[in-house]
Amino acid sequence: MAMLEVNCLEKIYKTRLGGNQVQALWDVSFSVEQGEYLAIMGESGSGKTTLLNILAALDRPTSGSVLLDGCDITDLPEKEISKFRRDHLGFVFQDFNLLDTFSLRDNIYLPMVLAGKKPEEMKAKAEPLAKRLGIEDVLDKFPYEVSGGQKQRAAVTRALMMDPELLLADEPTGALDSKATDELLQVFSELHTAGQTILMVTHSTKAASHASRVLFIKDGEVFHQLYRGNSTNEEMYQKIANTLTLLTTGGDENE
Amino acid sequence: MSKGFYRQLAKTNMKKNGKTYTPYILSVIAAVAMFYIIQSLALNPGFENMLGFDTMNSILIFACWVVRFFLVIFMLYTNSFLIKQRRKEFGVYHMLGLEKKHLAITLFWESLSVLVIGLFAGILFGMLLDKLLYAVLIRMLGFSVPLGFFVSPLAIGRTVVLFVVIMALNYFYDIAQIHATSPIELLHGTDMGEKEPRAKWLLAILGFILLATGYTISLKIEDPVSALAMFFVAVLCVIFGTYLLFTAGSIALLKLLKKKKSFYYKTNHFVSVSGMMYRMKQNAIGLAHICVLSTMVLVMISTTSSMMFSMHDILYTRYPMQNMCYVSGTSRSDDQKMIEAIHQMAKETGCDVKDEIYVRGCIIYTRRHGDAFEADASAMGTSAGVLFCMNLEDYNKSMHTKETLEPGEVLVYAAHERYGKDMIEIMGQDYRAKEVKKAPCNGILASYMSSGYYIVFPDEAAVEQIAEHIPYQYDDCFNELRSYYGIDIDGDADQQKELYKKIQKYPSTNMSSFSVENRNVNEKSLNALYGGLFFTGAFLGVLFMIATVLIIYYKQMSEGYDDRKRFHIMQQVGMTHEEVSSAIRSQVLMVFFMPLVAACIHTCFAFPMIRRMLSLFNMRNTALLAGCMVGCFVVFGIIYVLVYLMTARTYNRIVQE
Repeated sequence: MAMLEVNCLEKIYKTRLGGNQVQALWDVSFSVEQGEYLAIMGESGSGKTTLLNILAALDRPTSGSVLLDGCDITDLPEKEISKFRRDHLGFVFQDFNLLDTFSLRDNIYLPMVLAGKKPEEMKAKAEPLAKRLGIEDVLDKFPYEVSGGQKQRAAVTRALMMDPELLLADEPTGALDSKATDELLQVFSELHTAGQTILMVTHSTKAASHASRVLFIKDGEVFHQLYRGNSTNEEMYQKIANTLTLLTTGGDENE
Repeated sequence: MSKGFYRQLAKTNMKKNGKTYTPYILSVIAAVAMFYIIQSLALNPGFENMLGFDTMNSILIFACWVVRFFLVIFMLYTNSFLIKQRRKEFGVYHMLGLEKKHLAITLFWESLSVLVIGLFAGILFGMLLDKLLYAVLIRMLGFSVPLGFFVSPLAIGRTVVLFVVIMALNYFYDIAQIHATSPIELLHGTDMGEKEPRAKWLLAILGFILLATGYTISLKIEDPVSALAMFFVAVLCVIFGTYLLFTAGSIALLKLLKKKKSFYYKTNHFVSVSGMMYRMKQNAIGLAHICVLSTMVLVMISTTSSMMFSMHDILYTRYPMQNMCYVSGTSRSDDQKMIEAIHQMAKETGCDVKDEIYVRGCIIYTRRHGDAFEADASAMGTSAGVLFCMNLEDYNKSMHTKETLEPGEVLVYAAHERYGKDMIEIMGQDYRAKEVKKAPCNGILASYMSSGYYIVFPDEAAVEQIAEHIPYQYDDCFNELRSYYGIDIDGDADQQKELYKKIQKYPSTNMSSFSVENRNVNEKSLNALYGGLFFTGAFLGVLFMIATVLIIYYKQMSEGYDDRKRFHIMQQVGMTHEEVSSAIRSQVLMVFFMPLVAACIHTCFAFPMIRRMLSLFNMRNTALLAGCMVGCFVVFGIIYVLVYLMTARTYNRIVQE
């Protein structure tokens, strides 16, 4: 059975007075296997972020279901959602979303503090992870004192603290320079190799080229998907670039 | 671009920033009204014919200066806050091609509208309220309210000048702000990273020491005169202590909590401790202001109101009889002649003598060591004890009592506290002390501003002997006996006054000094003093209250915008909506009520000192003072809570948008 199953997801936004309707997702279905590294690509306004928000249980779909390990997260009552999110999902965002009033260490500890763990436990968990991600030297600095790449790696560390089944990443490289991007993608690849299931939303070809499968969304529908097979990152990059060209210059005719 | 464009832009800006502009305009209106009222009251000719006008007027003029000074600082503070909130907006306009010059023109129109609206509405409200407050004040002073409406062009002029100056200062400040920042900075506006504050241990400890010193002074000082002198030292200690503790102390404490890992890494502490740290860094000074202002309001209103309410007691202690004569340089038979003459005068006014007191005795400045009193001229007007020595016959006649004394025994009455000892040593001679609960004209000693004791000797010879042994004290007259005579007649206020006038004319040629005081005459001036003080206290109280409310409102608003982002992030990492709300609510509550709690503690510690100081003014009703204080707490607390509930609503709306 697939780890994550998304069935016939539909999301319609209404303006406040109910006048205009905007359909963000039409009929999205796909599944993610255990240990897979999936990238979802699409242009701005294609519905990527809406999709991710629904997967993160931050938003509810108009219709359709999201099954994580067989449990429908769109059905969870409000009270359980936070605990569910904390125990099963890890998040990485484009703008890091670190709390500026906490040091990196405290930001990383945050999910465990919320789960009521002991300080020794947090330390035992956080320090090896931070070492793996190369931020052990800056743990006691504050977000405004470190580089973007370090902030994002701290955010990844935070996301991994509770051993989530699924790591959700929303444009994780969006605010990083090319060197930091490379380093972060390297981190993601390593995590993937170690068996972590990752779902990344991006419109960066480079970021997507590291994934084992790429899903293309256009105008709220799954449009196409690419499997890595045995391709190298460079070959994957080419394939994605070609698909994107098709997508923008007249994919409709080819499909 | 046409002029109309800027005006239009200014108008839309003010509408769009309604949430910050509305309270700002309201505060300008309130400030204008308050300033106009206090000016107009100080200039009102209606008080001129009143007794005690000078006292009243100088209190009001002093209040004018306090208000003026306070308003300038307060309006500058509010404006700087407003402009900080709008930096992003200016950044966007800048990007859209409005030059700094154009922004300045737009801002000019905005400031002008605020000024015009504020002055117009403020003076209008001011005039209406002025009439009302004038009536209240006049009634409080015990006069009837005259008809007519007093409008003071001079007060209007002064108000306009003050606010034009304030708004001009604000305008230049805003322009300077816009010029000093680059467009990109303007655009990013308020969201720049902030450093975690450092713990300043030395300052925190110093603050603690200062506060403890202030409190100890209030608790330890027993003697009212030193209390009066040390009051300002204590006040300064507490004010500085408050500022240091709010700024350095709070952060040091939070750092300490943060170091304690088992405490810090708990769901409800984790977010609060670091949240509080930043809140305190940004708000400590503002909160300390609020705390000091609130304490002042509480002390001012509770003191002045308790004096107002105990006016009757104060008067009757200070003037036990309607007319009081003070005579020196006379013999007992001279006094007798005077008393007969006064009886004659009373008859002439057509009244009978209702009651009278007559006491002849001497006053000695002493220092007290345990139960020993030792004459010390340098103790004059300072501390220690003043002894008033008299004989038993005078005492019993005046008090209508039948006290008796055995050989070697004296009656002792302590004016402020109980004496509480069996023995008393006066000028090196030991006596057995028999404590009594009242004494004639106990207001006399109170007016000497010292802790006084009445000593009643068996006969006049003993008193004279004591007087001869007094070392030279500034003035020969201390070595001789002086007389105090008080008379009450069965007559109305006019007849009493008539008698007073007659007594004043009594030939004092044979006396080294003669003076007479009338209770009714002094009541008016005391009324003017206490009434004026109470009114000023309440007025400043209301003003400080308005300021407190606005500071709180603006603080809540700006924090709401910062918190919104944190709120969102915390939900993403798995905090429930309720957890986030309660964490934020507890922080806001703490920040909000800390100044109030601190102010209450300050006031409680000030209580013993205030009580002692008031005893100098013959206000000895501790229960009344405590009641007035509690009353002030309650009223102040209710207003504070109402303000909190109102601002909390706005805050929640911002955070949960």
